[in-house]
Amino acid sequence: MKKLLVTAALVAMPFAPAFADDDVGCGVGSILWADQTGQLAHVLAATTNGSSGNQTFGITFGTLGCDGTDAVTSRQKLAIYTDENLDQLMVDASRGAGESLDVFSELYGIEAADRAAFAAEIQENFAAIFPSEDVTAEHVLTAVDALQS
Amino acid sequence: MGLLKRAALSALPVFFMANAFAASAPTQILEAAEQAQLWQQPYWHKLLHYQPKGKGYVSLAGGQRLFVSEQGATNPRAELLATLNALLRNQYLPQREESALCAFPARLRWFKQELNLSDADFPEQICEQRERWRAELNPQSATLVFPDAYISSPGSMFGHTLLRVNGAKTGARAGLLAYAVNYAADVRGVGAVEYAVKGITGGFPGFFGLFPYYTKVKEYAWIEHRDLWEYPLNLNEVELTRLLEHLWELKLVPFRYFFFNQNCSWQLLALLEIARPGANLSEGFDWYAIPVDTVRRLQEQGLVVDEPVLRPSRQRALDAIHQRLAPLQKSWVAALVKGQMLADDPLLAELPLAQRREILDAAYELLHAKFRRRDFARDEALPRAHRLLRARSGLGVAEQEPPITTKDVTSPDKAHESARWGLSVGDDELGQWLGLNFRPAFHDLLDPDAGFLPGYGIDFGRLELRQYFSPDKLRLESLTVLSATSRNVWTSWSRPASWNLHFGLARPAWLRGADPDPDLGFNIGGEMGVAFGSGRSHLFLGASVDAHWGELLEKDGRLALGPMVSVKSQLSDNWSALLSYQQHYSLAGLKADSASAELGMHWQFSANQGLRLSLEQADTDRGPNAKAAGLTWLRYF
Repeated sequence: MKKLLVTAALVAMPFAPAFADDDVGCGVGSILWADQTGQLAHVLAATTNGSSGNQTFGITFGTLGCDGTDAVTSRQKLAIYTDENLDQLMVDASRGAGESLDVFSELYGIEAADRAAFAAEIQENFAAIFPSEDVTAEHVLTAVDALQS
Repeated sequence: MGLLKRAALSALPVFFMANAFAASAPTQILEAAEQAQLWQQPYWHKLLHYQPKGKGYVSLAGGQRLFVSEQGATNPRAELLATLNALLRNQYLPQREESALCAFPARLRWFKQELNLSDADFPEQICEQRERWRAELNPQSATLVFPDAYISSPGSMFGHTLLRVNGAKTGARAGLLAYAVNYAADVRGVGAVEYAVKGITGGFPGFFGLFPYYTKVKEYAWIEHRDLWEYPLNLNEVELTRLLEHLWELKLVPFRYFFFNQNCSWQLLALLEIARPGANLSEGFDWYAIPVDTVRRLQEQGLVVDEPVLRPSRQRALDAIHQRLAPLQKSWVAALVKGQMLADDPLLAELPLAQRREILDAAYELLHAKFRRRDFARDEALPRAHRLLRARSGLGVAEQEPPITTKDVTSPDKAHESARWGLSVGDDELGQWLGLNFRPAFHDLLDPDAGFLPGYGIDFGRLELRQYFSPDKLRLESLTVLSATSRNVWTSWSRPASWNLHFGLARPAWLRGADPDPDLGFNIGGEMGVAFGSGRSHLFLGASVDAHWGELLEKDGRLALGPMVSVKSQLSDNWSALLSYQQHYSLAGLKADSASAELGMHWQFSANQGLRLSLEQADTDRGPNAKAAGLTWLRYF
């Protein structure tokens, strides 16, 4: 999985601008509840007429994941999405519903009619999919794959 | 090689005039463009982001990426002829690292339309990278997104706007998987002073960026707890195409970022003018562009017609649960957050399933919010949060709450207008007066709060002039550069601070008993305390500090500190009242203590007109009491 993400990042390299995101994006293995910058820095980072973002600044111009204008496979998209939305996915999984989980199931290729059942299955298997607070996107996908097979 | 090409490029117009006989198709097309004086067309100026300067023009774009001609930044004619020539010959542009036909699709489209050209007039070129980019975006519609103010950050108190390109009509690609077009300054690694100075003077480079929308939702709604208002834009297919084509042209083009006028919201208007030629969007924001005013402009110009959709912040969901739970259950949520109670506690197990779900959901959200505020370290909070979710996963799926709509919450565009002026009559120790006041932006605690966060205020550039009759004197009463207020009420779950900061020129009203006509001085002050009640009606208790530089009797100023109490009530949608009392004990400068009581009553009798009564009494140990009263008619515009 990591390898896949790294590949996605490498594919995107030629288009990656000098300002890449520091801690978000490019599927480099996000962790849950990543520490943010201090409150003061946070306040300053929000500009007078709107935030330029403390952690999402970047002049990325590419599409999903990195700055890659190269085609990304649907599996890579799923991996990147899972990595970048791990926090909210875990919450939705615990509740068996939610927009982030909906999008996950769509990217996973679940038909609209089957998504509620899929969400319920994810909730039932929460402990296997999110076994600890150190869980990675890689583990989540492997565990969901195991459920589906 | 680059140098050679550039030299050849800048010599081109001359070259073509000298070779008019040659009459190849490209030269004829260039001549036609020259004869039509296409460089004077407003749309050309928009494509190049030209602004009039003196007798000529200057582009807001920096660097060379947006230009083909070396004089492109200041010479619309040279740029037009160089661009057209580069397109006709499909020259490789080293500054873009792509060929002209791939680099400038919006210009190409416009040339074709103005000069009646077809694909056959240009070399064949497949722009693989751009096409793949466009296919991934797959624009079906666009949405203007307005993240509301972030109450803890004065920097974002006006809100923000970004553009969302929807890759489908419905579903994930019209939501979290859509792409957000965001214009932002690169302000990383900058200190406070540098930030302020550069922000106002255009010292930061601004770029258009493209992000999966979920990164923006995460940032605003999930981390900063800001509501997102999503306004559908009624752009048709060709308008969307033009928008995307121009966005490609703006790839990595640096602009100077000005926080007040040429900011995130204004630049989006400039981009939308490319999509819909003839729409008057970007004009009239010479001094400042408040995001909500740009939304209103889009409504006036017919680009936003439908009601917005609210994507509520997580705080809203938490507040809703807070209202539903009984006091004892609220205390359990707090105990769960602190780790004093565990999710499998027998007390919880006795509750109905729906309540257990809400308690665990609330505990997780609250713990996350407190972690973000750094009340807990990650090591402590995250394992606890994980245990809460694990317990929650055993409780099944909750009934879905009905979505919050504009019927429940007033959208920001329906709030009172941002600027305000007014006329007043009044009486104080100096005599009776007629007053004129003006405030370019934005909202104070007495203004009707529909469409704003309750307990939030930000006054910018508030000015008051008074003409006294006897004695006949014209006075600048005050000029408040900035007054920012944030009153956050305490709940059983969180104990935020409330504060105010203000500075500007003012006359010390508390001194009027001793000196009916006090001098204008520089004043800076603030309040810090706690608030109880609700956002709309609350009691504030705190301390206030007041520093004044200017002639005060025999001294040149005073620094004072003291307690303060204030009650604010939004009595109804149209009526609000604010009663404040504060004492100030002199710490330095003029040895004079003071106390003052103020009452303000505001009646909004139409959408953008109000009447305001103010009564004030001030004491100082240096003279008799001073009284003042005023009645003001206010007009929002």
